[in-house]
Amino acid sequence: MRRLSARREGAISICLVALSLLILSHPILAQAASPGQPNPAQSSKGLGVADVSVGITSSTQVNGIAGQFVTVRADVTNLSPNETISGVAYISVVDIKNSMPIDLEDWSAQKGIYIPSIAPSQTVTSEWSLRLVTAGSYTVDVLYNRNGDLSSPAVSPRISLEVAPRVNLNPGNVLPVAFGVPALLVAVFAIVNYRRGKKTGVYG
Amino acid sequence: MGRRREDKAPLPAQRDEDLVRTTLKVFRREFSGNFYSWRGGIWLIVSSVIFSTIAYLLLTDKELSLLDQGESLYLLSEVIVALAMIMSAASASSLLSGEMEAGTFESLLLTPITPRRIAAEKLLSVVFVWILMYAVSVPYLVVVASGTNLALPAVAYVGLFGTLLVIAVSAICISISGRLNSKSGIMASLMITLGLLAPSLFFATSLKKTDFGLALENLNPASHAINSLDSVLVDNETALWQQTVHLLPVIGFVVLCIILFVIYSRHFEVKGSE
Repeated sequence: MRRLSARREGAISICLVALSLLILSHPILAQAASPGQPNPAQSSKGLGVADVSVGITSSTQVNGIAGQFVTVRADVTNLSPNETISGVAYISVVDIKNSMPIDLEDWSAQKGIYIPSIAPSQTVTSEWSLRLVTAGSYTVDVLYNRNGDLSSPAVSPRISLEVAPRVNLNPGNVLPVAFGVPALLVAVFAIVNYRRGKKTGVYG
Repeated sequence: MGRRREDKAPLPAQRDEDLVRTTLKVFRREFSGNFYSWRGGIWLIVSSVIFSTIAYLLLTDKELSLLDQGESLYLLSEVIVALAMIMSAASASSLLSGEMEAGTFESLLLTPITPRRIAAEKLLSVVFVWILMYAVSVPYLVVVASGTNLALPAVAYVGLFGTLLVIAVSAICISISGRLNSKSGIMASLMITLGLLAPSLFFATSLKKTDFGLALENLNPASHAINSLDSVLVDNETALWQQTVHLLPVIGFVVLCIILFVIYSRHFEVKGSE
């Protein structure tokens, strides 16, 4: 095999080094090349989504009946080894069938939870109580927005939520009372009036 | 020409005899008039239908049934108290003027019963209709409160505030009824009742939170009663001492109405028929 001359070898080495530097300097390629590094486009402080993780500790497959309450629990972990972070963790519910986000007005009293500080490498657990208002299929996500930058929120894995309709015509035995009391009153007054009418000769 | 009847002190022996003969005579007459003519009965039936509709909707309607149980109970209690006030105003506002216009009041004044006692027994007859209406409402309160510890506080506080407000509204409406003809009396009484209920029932939350709304709520005994029910049933503040801030203005209103009632029922003027 014919060997390359020392001059040519040197030129090829310089080209390879230059190409490597070019690749590493491109932001997108750089992120792909080193996934552990922060994305400067996402965080002005050099810390981004990669420094926060949101995990679901409650069940990720929830089945319930309209009217029930379910609890969603999420752990927000600060992955940074030396920076304390603060931010808001909030919940998002999307109706799959109608492809619409749900207005959480009736679903949950607390939509967002402010977490004032998470120490380096620490985890904070947040909890949401959701009232299942309408039957349907939903996905639930927990998101975390860091304070002080415009980085994308950290997102939890999705929770699948299936809500079955509630069919209960007689909760708390309301039917006997709702129909029985007016009927009883009408019957009592009819009897009282009939007896009085009989006494006074109205009914012969 | 007006004829005037005032309290006169009869002799002691005659007084005892009269007392036995006339004990609650007007009340018994009103009571039988109420229930044999369906006048009082129709209030009970209509109110039971309203309570049935509300209780059924609160527990079965897709969205209403998702209300917190305390809030459902508060909604029902609010309706019971409001209906009690409307019933007492409508019934009491024509009790005296109706009799005056029908020409039957004169014969009542000719009996040994004093005018004040006539008015008091008529007031008692309205309160008695409320007691029956309250008895009708109890099963609904119990059903809507089922599964919570709020049934007893709901029954107790609705009874307390309902009775106080019915006494006050009836007293003021009977006083009006002795002074005005039945049409004006009914209008005036219903306007007073609506005025009392309006801040709680018709004002938006934002208006209630303004200085004007807050001042009106602080002055209004009906608002105090309804806010107290809210505090007991929604905020679970069931102890009586926690409600004194609401209870005292309501008691003050009752005392004021009874003073007016005592003053205005001292004598009645009956215009002679031609």
